[in-house]
Amino acid sequence: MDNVIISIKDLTKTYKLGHNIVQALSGASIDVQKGEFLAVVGPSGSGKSTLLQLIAGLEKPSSGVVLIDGVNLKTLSDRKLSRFRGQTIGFIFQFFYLQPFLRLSRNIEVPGMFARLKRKERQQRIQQLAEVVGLTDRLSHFPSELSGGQIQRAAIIRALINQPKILLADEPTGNLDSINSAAIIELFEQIRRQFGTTIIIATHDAAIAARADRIIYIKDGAII
Amino acid sequence: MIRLSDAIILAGTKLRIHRVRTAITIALSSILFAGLIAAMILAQGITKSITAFSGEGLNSRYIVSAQTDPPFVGNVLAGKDFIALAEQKGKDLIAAKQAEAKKLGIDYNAGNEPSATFTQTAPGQGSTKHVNLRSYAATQALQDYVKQHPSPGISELKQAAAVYHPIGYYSSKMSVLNGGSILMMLDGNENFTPTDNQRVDLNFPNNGNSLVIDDSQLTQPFMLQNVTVKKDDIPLVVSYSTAETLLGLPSLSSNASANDRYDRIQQLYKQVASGNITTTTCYRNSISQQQIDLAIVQTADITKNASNKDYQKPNLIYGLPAANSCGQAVIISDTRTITEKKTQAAQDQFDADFGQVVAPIQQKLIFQIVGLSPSVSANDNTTFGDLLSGIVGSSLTNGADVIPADLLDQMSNAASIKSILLSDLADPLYISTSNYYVEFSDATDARAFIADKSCTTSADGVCASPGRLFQLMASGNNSIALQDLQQKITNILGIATIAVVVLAVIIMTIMVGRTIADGRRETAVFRSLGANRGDIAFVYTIYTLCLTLYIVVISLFVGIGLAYGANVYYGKNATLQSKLLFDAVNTNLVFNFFDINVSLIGIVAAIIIGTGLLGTVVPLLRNVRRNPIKDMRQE
Repeated sequence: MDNVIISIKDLTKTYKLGHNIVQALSGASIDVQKGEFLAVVGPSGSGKSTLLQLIAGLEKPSSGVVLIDGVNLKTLSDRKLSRFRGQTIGFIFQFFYLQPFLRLSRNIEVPGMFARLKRKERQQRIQQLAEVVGLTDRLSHFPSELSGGQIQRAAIIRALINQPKILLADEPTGNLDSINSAAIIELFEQIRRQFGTTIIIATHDAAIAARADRIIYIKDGAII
Repeated sequence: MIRLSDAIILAGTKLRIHRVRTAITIALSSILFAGLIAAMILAQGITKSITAFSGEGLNSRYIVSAQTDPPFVGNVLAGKDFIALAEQKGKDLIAAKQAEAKKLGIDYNAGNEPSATFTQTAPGQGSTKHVNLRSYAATQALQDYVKQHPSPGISELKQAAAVYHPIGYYSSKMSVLNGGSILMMLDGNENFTPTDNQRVDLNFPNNGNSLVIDDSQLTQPFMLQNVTVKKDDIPLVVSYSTAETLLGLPSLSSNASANDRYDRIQQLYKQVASGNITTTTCYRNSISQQQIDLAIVQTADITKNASNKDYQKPNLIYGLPAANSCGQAVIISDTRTITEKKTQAAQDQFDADFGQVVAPIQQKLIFQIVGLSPSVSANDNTTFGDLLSGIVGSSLTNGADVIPADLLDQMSNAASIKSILLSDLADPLYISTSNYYVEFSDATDARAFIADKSCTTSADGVCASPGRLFQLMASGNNSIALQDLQQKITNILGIATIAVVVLAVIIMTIMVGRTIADGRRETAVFRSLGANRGDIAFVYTIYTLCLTLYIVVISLFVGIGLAYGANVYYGKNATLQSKLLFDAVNTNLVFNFFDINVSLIGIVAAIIIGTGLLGTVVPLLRNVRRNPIKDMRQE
């Protein structure tokens, strides 16, 4: 139990989409161990993204509990939750979402800005992470000057700048070709090895999921 | 919360997104505020310049003229009692004349005596009896009435104005000649037979053959410096138009340019100030003029009949005096018998007893120009320039030619001149020749005094407000209107500021609202990267501040540039026009549109920033309350 970093109990989430009520997640329960590489697999609209957003505290569950490192997210105010998220969780999107008018180094700095990390420390971490992902010579470039794989690698080290314990990746390879996808998965494994980071990837790609320690399947909002 | 430097970095990226929209927003808001800044600078400059120019003439003073209501029109003259009095006076006059004629041994035909009253018949209204003001009896009745009902004077004015904090009382008297006229002696000589075109009299524009004698407190602003008043010359402040006549300058056409008018007025000042300009005139009363006219007719008649043996010369022949003397017509021959002379003397005595002038009076009057005052437009404000001039200009007693009272009193022959210029035997209808003035220190008191105490005459000419003794009006200038004008400028600017702020808030709300709406996905990303609501709000606030700083810089630059350009482009002409409008020709004043009040600019900058922030509040509040993940999902 001491090794559990994420504990989800009876988690449900419903929301309105237009005039319809959508049951995005229904009674999901799961424990994730520290340093575990977990793949959440399911078709589009199955509730993968919702699960990740609930774990990140970006959404409030309709019911159920999310414990991150023993902290019940429900008990945190917006300010505390944001700080907790910034320090504990790194989030990676399918569409990268880098700022087009910021150079790569600045883009990577953004979570550090919100965490009030000192500039010097941010720079040191960026250099260190850029070396890991092989982007050292691209730090002064704008996103538009990079390839898709480079951008996703940048998004990954952006998520790591605050040295989070957990890395959540929502379809991180969904926008990449197979070579870049494989490279990204390699990178996740390397990160886990090097930093001991717990990684949860939402994907509908079975090949990617196969590289994980454990796979959970979601269908219609339920873990099966 | 995120550090300021980091917030600036993130806010900077928003300025680069949607550049066209941002540029349009900045441009629109900058134009609005630039216009406001330019208007403020111009208004400040205009107000200061008006204040400076207002120091000229009487413009900086709040003077109210008080005119007594002539009591002889309307109800008094139409009153049955007065008509009865006039008729009684008529009967008494005839009786007195008959007795005096008998005593003096002359003929008197009462049938030729003008009746004191006459009857007028109007269709459908029957007949009405009126006083005949051409009859001596009726004028006697009026004079008696005046003595019993004297017009309100300076003491009544002081009583009425006491509570309005007056700072001075002045009076003026309109000169009324006892018949006759004052004619200019060109080159020192009198032209005894002028044609209408050659008749050059002192044609004081607004008062016919009269002058105004004003308190020196009123004339002082129009007196020329360095002019030494000559002993026994009558000091005179003349209007520009009179000065033109006296200096022999042709009048400018009504559509003369501002430059031409300015040059003309400067020329007048220059010539009058340096030349000690005097004009010699000859005053003749009606008898003196009749004798001159008779001399001319007799001379012509005698010359014409020089070879006519049957021609019988008049027994009293007049000749013309020396042209430069302004003397009485000389008697060339007097062949009247002693009886004829006695009869004439008796007739003169009779006429004099009943108010007629019988002795010739003539006197050379030398006027010295000691001051210049603006002419009042004869065009009745038909042009915009005339209208403006009427609003902002100052004039002395409606552009009349004025003798300063204290200088007149210092003259050794003051009594003689006053006897000519201030006749007591004037037409009783014009008996109210005195005008009074009261000066206040500010427009508020002046305005209140007029509102509370001025008599408004009704159609019959009688004051409609009982107890109000004077017709009151701002005099010499429109300083009250000028103050109102300045107040209005301030009010208009206030309204314009509000309008601009409202417009700018709308523009900024739309712009920032759109930017925030477009940035919802980015907000969601920031939230997932650890930003709290405060961080997001702070970044957008910094973004708005950056936006408004752009607007501040651009609008200041453009606004100041516009105002400066207006000053460069219009300043010279405005100075010229103002000198004309304010009658401040003889000064070095400059009309400056450009006057930056740093604190005012600071306030505008603060308003712009405040406007931006105000425009951000609503979309920002809406944004921070939304769930960015939900927005992202819906996208």
